[in-house]
Amino acid sequence: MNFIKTNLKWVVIIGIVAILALWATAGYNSFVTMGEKIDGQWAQVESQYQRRFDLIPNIEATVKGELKQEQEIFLAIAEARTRYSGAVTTEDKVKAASQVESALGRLLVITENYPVLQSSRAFSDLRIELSGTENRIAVERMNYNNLVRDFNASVKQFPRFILAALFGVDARSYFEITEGAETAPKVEF
Amino acid sequence: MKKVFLVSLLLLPVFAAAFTVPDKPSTYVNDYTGILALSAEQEAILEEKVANFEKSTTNEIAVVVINSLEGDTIENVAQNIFTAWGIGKADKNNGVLVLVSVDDRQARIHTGYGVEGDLPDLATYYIQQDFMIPAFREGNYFLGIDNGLDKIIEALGGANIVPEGYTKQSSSGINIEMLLFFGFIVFEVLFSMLAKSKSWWGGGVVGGVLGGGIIWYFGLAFLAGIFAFVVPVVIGLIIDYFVSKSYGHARSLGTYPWWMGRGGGSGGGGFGGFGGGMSGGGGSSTRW
Repeated sequence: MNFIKTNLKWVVIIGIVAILALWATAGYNSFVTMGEKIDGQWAQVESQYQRRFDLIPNIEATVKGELKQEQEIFLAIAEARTRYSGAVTTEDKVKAASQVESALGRLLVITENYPVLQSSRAFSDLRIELSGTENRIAVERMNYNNLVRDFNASVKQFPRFILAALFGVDARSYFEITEGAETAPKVEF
Repeated sequence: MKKVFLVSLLLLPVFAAAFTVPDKPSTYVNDYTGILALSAEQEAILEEKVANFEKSTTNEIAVVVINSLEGDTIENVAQNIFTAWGIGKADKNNGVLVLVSVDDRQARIHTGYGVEGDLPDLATYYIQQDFMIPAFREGNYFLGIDNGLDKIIEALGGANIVPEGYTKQSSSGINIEMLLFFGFIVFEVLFSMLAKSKSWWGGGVVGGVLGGGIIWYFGLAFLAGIFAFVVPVVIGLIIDYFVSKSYGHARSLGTYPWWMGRGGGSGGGGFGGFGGGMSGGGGSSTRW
């Protein structure tokens, strides 16, 4: 016990350093884990976008014959798709995806003026598929935002924000639905 | 009880929507309209059908009948119930939710990730349109749900059993929520044991064991080792002192603090609750 007494100062200092090191390790690892989760969830959102893109050619093939005068809506969809595939950052992708969303929404509104389409079984099946896809996108987006919220809370809270600043961990941005896209292709029967 | 409390605590901020998800039930078929839509007898028949199906295939089908969506969309309500209850097995995500809102005249079949292949959105739509809605229009909810269940079971049944490991993404590393959860339970049990024990040194012993564990796990050097041992012992002693004191106090009052736990399991037969499956929002909705 004499040893501790004579070296009390060092015992305390090393103890504190050890505890701080443990805390920093745990904190850093949790940032990494949460970040990975968010990236994984983003991939999930993207795969649902892909599902939507895969539907578009079918929808176009079904309605194009009827909608001969409505060429600009198909152009808008095609343009938004090109923009999406060219987008690098998450933010650009979100923007382009929102454009696809609003263009599809407009297309559905237009089809309401075509009774032939409304009564076609093929078109009604496609709309069921589309509404299922839109709901999946909404769900995955909500999950994404929930993860981001947890992550940001962790990054901004005391005393974790000290660690976040130390390791250069920034808060992530939410998936905001951009202007004009709030009216997702709502499919009513 | 503890578990339900904790789970609802974890989920609370997520589901601040207009519709409040009912507590996780102990049956597959739940009619929240009272006996308006389904009589107790009819509920038992449906329950047996679904329970038997679960026994042979592990697929979980939940049937929920509610009065109103409280202004929310049926897609949101279905997703919230699905997530809160965890319908389907956790490693298969093979759950299906059949949701009927009587006053809104809307229905939805909501599918878990694992059954999207066998029960695609189109199938869920036509099951509702052709087999459920006609009966609902006549106010015969039992017949509609019974028909719908037969078709769902047919689509999922027999040869089409979802393989294990059907999860949307491989979760990497340790589940933080699980760790927290178990940590919390250990902490609760320890506290209540220390509080009830007559010894004043019990907390010191627990602290010592913990400290020893830390030293062993991290292979700490001598000085840090001493520190890692002494600190938990002291903290343990202090905690024991306080919890024992407040336990004595609480015992005289008859009310126990939160960390004492609430004793007793939920008990009861039947199935042990849904398996924790997830849904990505598949399925379709209909009106009548």
